[in-house]
Amino acid sequence: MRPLARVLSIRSIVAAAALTLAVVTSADAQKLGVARSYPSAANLAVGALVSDQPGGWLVFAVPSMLPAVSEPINAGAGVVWEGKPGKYLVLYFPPGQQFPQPEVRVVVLGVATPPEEPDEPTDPPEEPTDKVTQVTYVYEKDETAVPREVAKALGDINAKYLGVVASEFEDDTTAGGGSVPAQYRVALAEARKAGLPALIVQAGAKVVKVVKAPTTEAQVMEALR
Amino acid sequence: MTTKAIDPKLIDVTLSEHDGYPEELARLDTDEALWDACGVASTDFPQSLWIPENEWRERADYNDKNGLWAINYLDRFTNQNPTHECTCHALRAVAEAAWNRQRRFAIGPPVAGQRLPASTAPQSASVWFSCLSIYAEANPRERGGANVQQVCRIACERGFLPDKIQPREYGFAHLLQGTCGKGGINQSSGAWPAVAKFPDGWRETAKHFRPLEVIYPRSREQFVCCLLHGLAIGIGRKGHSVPICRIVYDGGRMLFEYPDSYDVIRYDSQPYYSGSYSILSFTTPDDWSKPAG
Repeated sequence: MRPLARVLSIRSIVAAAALTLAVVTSADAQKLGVARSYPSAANLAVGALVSDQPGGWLVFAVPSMLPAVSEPINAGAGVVWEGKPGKYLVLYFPPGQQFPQPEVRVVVLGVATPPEEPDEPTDPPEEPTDKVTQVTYVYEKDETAVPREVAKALGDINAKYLGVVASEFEDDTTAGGGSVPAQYRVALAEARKAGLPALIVQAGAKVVKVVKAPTTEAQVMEALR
Repeated sequence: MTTKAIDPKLIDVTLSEHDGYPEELARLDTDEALWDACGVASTDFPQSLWIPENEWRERADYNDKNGLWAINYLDRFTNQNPTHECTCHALRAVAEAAWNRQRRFAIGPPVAGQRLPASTAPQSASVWFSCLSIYAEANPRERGGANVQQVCRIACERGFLPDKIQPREYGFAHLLQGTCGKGGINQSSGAWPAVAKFPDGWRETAKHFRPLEVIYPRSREQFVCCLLHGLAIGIGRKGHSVPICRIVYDGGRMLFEYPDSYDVIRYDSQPYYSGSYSILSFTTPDDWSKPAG
């Protein structure tokens, strides 16, 4: 994952007992689990709220009341969003409510500004490469089950490397409409060419490695390098 | 080893009265009836799943250590109390475990009354299915329950609708309350929904959440092998239907663990494989972050 670009200024906040507004920094964002970098464009501002427990979040631009581009962070106990500088209405739904009663905050975002201080040094990215996006074990159930070490390795990759989708795919599986799911078309075609079962490592639509019939955790992890 | 002392009060629990799987309906759940009910989704037990009995305990230990049980792919309890929806609550657990197992992102085991952080993580594709989206069709009279073949047939034919409560915002076009029962932090509760009152166009969303291949463990050995491979098994017995999700050893005794639809973990001492089923594969989205497209 690319590191977050810069510290962003937020002109005014409305703080509350249950909620605290957090400035998103590169280091903070890494810790809070953002899926991508913010802002996506230089003219956009970024806001983030965190709570003390996971809940539901909705963010709307004011006065248009159109939903802002947002994603949960901090394992659900927070939200990050971006949009044009201006007012935003943030609704937080605490857990355990029989009837939803959101806490409401109005947040005013300023323009993104360059950092006043250098970013804290960050650890090197954990991704095995900056290209691998997908690792798929493709198999035919009547021929083989997913080896347990492969299953473990796929789970470990998902837990450790944000941005890499590691999963299994049985070759008869379809999407709801009955076709091969778009995200597995390349992997399935490549695996059929190589012979099932096979582990297909991709960078986007490009196949970067094929491992025939892997059975060990080491084979899967090695394929990432 | 996969050994822990289990409270005897949690083993072989029999409810005072049936909660949705009465004897007259259970009698109809023969192996043949289940096979026919699931139509083209019915699949023979693949020999690739076979694990010799002398490897079971070691395999269970490996699953424990590495989080490879079906329970590790479940991130919520549901609560049916006081309804007759049990077969659909068991089915939703078997289905959700199959969905998350294909994604191979371990998000469980569930904790009653809690929203798990992993459920909302960017890697999570956890989708919570509405039990009522199946039960409303299986038993339009609401009370009285449904049998396993009915609910499996409906799920295979047209799929689940997502629950109104989801761990992440997916932008589903059609949602339905999860239960007429108690529900909870991770399951919505609401009024009885006649199928005719489902949101317009609901089948377009439901088609994305269907079992594709269903198998039927027909021996103790097949039952155990499914569990060891991380598959959940839906069973109906003694007036109640539950999803078996893990094997634990209580001393030398093998117990079959299930997240009951009452916010509690319980255990069977027997593998009830008559009338049982497991979902081997499930529809898979074009993009895990957009489960219904």
